Amino acid sequence: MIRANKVKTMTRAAMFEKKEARGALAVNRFFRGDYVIYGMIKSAISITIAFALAVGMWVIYHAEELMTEKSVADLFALGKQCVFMYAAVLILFLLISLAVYCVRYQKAQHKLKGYRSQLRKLAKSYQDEASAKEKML
Amino acid sequence: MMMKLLLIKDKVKEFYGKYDVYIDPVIKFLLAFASLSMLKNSLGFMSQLNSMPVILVASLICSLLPVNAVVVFYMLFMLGHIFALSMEAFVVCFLLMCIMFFTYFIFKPGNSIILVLVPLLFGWKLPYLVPILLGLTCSMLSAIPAAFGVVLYYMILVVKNNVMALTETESSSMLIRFQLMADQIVTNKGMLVMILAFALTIVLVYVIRRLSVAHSWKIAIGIGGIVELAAILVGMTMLEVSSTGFSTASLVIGMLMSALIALVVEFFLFSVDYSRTEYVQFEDDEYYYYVKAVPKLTVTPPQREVKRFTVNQKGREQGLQETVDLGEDIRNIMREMAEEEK
Repeated sequence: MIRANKVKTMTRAAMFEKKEARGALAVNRFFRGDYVIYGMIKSAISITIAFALAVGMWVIYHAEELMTEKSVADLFALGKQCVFMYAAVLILFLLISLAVYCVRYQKAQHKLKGYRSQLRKLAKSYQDEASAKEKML
Repeated sequence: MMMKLLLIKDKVKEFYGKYDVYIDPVIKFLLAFASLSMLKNSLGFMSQLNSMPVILVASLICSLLPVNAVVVFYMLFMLGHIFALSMEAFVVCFLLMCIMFFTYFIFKPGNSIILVLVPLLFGWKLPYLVPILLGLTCSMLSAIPAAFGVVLYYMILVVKNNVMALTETESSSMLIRFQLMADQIVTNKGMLVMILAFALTIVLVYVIRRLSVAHSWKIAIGIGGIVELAAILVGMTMLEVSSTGFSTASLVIGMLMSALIALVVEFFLFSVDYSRTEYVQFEDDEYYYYVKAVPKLTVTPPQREVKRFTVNQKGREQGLQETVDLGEDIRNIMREMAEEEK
């Protein structure tokens, strides 16, 4: 037998799943710490590639100067400066990522509250159905 | 007047709920068509990408794919045009786009369509609308795609303004053309001012519209518009930006227009959930369910007016009361009828 209330709850839950498949539900697969660290690792990889590209662009821009005017010692000093700059940028972006991913996890948990109550309703309706069947028997 | 507007709002909501399957692709098609045509007009160096059938087919493909496809096509067309003009300009733009992509990937703020909307609105002289709308409808992180949109617009502008220098292969080396292009984009003061003004406006509008005060959306639009205008003017003056392509008069007019459009958008978006028809599939132990969930239409209730009739001098002489409450009369009649029935 199809119960209207059960179908309504299931539909609402399915709509939420469809909408939040890559949002709150994806976040919920992780523990808080794991999610934040995963996000920070992704950020570190992305910022490393972006920084490498920016350095590459800078090197092409100053190619002539680097090839002709700079000594080996100068190049080492530049490399050192570059590493320090990379570390500073990385730390800055990691701190921002930490804050952003913490807030995102919190928001996802908040969104999931309603979904969980719908699931509880469904579980209860299943229990009621089962007990009704037992009584019939 | 307000009642009519509210009814229009309901009609729009009803229309969208009913025909969203067709409306969304049409909007995506128009957006892709407008942005690719704008690229054709401002760059247009690759003849193959300039032909109308190619633009139409690309727009049609965009209309069938998710909205991010518009951004991908836009960037591909842009790189194609720049590649046809100059290899050095292409390398600079490609590297900058890659840097933007990886920086965007750190936070994945969503709304990548802003990357296309910003240059498009710059073309229509209404770029100031973007940060106000983003502050009203998105999060503070939307400042990232907005900034990248500004960079894309300035890339187009720089290439367009340096066609001669980039195509003169005899008098300048590859490296010089690369340096020229990188210099013009990376150290562009006008671009920097716009990015900062946009970011400031987005944050400000977002914070104000979330305040628990009456008319917070309208206040956010007003303050956001003024601050954006002030930030651009002060920034342009401080950094001595001369060739921005915007005069103060056009800036003020554009800002007023943007604020007006933002007010219209606020009216149609504030506290309205444009729910669309959803198709979901699920199953339990007994059945498979294929459900089409259609949003319920809530029609604005007509305003009730209580009419009171005041008797004149003649009536007063006849002994009538000052004010006749028709509602009370009707209630009395209904009470009598009920008693008769008993």
